[in-house]
Parts: sequence; C-alpha cells; structure tokens
Amino acid sequence: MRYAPIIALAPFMVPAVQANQYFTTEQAQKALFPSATSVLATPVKLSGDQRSQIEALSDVRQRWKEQPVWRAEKDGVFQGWYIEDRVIGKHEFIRYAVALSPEGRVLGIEIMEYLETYGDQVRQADWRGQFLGRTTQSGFKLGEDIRNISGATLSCRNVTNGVKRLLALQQVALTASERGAQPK
Amino acid sequence: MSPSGTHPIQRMRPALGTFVEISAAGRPPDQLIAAIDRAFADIARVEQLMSFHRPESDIGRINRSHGAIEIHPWTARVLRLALRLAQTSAHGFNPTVGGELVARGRLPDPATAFIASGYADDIRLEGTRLQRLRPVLITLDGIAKGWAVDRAIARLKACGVSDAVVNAGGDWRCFGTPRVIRLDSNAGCIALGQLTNGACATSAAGRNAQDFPAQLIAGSEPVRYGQWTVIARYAWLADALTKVAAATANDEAPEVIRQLGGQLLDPTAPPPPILLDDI
Repeated sequence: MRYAPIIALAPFMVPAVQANQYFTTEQAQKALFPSATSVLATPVKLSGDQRSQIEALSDVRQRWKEQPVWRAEKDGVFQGWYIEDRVIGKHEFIRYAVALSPEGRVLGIEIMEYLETYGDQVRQADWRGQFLGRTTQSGFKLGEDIRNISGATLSCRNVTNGVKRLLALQQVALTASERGAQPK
Repeated sequence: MSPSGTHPIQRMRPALGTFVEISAAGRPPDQLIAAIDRAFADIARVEQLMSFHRPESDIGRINRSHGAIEIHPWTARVLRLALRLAQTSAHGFNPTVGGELVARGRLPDPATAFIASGYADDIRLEGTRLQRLRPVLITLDGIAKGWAVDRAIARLKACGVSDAVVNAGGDWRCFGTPRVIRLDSNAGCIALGQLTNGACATSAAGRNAQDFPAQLIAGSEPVRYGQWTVIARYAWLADALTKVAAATANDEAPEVIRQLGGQLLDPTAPPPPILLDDI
C-alpha cells in the first residue's frame, strides 16, 4: 500500500456534483437480456385504480402514471420484462433498470445513472473558507476519483422499495397485457 | 485510463445494504464484464452468508444455535479475523455486540434469548466448527462489508484484471491506478490524498439516524460524534479500524490505529511528514 497526502497544508474541495452513467437504455437491455433478439418498447399507462392496487400490494406509492417498459424476446419467445425506474435518495438521484421473468422473478438489477449533489452542504461557506486559496497543487497529478457514497443506505432502501413496486406493477398491469387484455 | 490502454468498464449494483461500484480495466471489454459479474457474485455470496438480517445466513444460524455448529469456511475466516482484532484492540472492535444493537432497534430481533454483548472468548471456533459459550449475538457489521470488497478484488485479480476499484458505499479498495481519497463531511466534499494498492473506509457516528452506529459496535459510552477515515492494506481491516478509532480517545487514536496496521486520516491536521508509507 502507498499513500500520498494531496497537498502540504490542507485538503482541497472537489466538485459538488458528480454524475456517473453506467448504462444507456440499449446497453442495459443488452446486459440484462444478453440473448434477446428483440426488445420492444411497450410503455405502460396506469389508471388511478391500478396505481392504488400497486400501492396496496407493495406499500410503495406509484408516483407516475406512465412506466417505461420493454418486452424482451428471443426468436419470438417471450423472455421477460425490462423496466426502467428512478428513485431519489438523500443527496442523489438514481436511475436503474430491472429485468423481470415472465413469472415475476427478479432476473437482475443494474444501476444506470447515479447523480450526487452536495449543494446544501457546500453553501456553508465558513467551513469552506479554510480550504480556499489552497485548491490546486501544481505538479500533482491526480489519479481517478473515488466516490464516497454518503446516505447510500437510505437510497439503497429506496431502490429495494422501487423493485418491490415494479413487481406489483407487473402483477397489476403487465400480466394482463401479456395475455393481450390490458385493462383500460 | 488504465496502463494497458483499454477503457475501464464500470458497473454499480445494490448489495451489502448499499451501492457497490466495480471499475476494472486491462482486459478486453467482454472479459472485464465477465470478471465484474463474478466479483459481484462473490459479494452476493458474502452477503448471503454473513448478513444479520437474513435468518438463514450463517450469522442467523449461529445466533440461534445451541451447541456447536458447522459454518462456511468464508464465515469462519471473517469471524477469526474479527475475534483476533477484538483481542488486539482491547475490544475497541467487538463482533459480539449484536444484542446491544437489537436492543436499540438497529438490528432485527432474532426471537431468541440473548445478552447485550460479550467478548471474543465467548466464541469457540475450531476450523469451521463454532460454539457460543454464552448467548451473545454475533454481528459482522463493520468487517464483512470490507471483506466482501477484498473477495471481489481477489476475484478480479484472478481473472487477469490489471487495474480495478471495488467501492461498497465508500468502503473501497484499489489496485493499479492510484485513486484519490475523497471525504464527505457535513460541510462538503474534500480530497485527502492518493492511494495505490490499498483500502480506505469511513465511518460516522452520532450525526443522524442513517449514520453507522460506530459507538455501538465499539460498545463505548458516552456516545461519540464524528467521522473517522482509515486506510489499510485490506478493506476488512480499514472497515473494522474505523470502529476502533471511534472508540478511542482522539489523541491516542492515530497511534492505536497504526499499531493495528492502519493509518487514521485527519482532514483537519497537517499530513504526516513521510509521504510514502508502506504498511
């Protein structure tokens, strides 16, 4: 192990917003359904009744009326649902994708985008003052940054709840449409 | 950019009660993706074996056990590390405080009789055979997450990856490219230094309900407030030593952590005079 403190006097501030994109929709579909030959967009529009049912089943509120859903097929055989969703944590905004089997089993979860902000914290200028004027160090080459995922326990629970909600959504709105009888 | 010139592949999944991010480089993309998948599978295995929240895990079975039981070799290994660190840290790190955490509502009630906390010698561990001598509840919170990171790193290396980071919600380990140690505090986000082939962990106590209860792991009273960042060669050690740091008086903590094989980083103090420190 080798450790080098970053500057001689004090640490410096790093950007207050960090975004990381892991997958585009297409990439995530390929990662979660690698053998699919077609992935067809079938966005679901939910009625007020259906949203109430989802909440009753999952204990999580379905906040939006439309959920982006795709059907994955391999040579005409239905493989499962690809659903995109988002949750908001304490300081972060998370977009993720879930693959569900036709029977309603979770096949995989991939985080697509993770955005952190520290805006409310950085506003405390007093603290920040002690680091101003020492923000760069010439000749010091930075390695790659490591995100320190704060508040992750909270937003991780939000993803877990999100998946629970999507499983309920599948029961309420997708099973029926699979049989070609999507309720109004 | 990695030394070999290939672009790193980065993935993030929910695991270990947080988000785990793995970044790897140095092989063709399809091999990197396969290696990352296997590393995530190892992490999931550690979680299945060592989560207090899962009744069917080894930890769940241990905490309901009467008499000796067989446990998975991985669980035995982490427990051995935990018990040894409990002894060398004068129980500044203590894996037998599960009862205390249950009583305070931080962990689910295992629906069995238990005592609040105990000591390393309440556990007899021979090979993969374990027996509780008193009804302590074992929790590997504060060490298993780091060990899962170490497993994932070992898997990536075995798959021929030359450059990687495994980051479990801020507890991380890297090899290859040097990485910046970033610290979130209530006041903002700062960089502390740069780490090569090492591990880093941060624990906070007392700030809010989401904070890791370092003071409970340490069993120390009164409750202390603060945030401790420790670097070490292994992620399990960095993770566990943050709890020792939280349980130790501020002026003694740097030396105590050094003796146990880590280095406590203080964002407000000037860095130590030796820039390169091999532990």
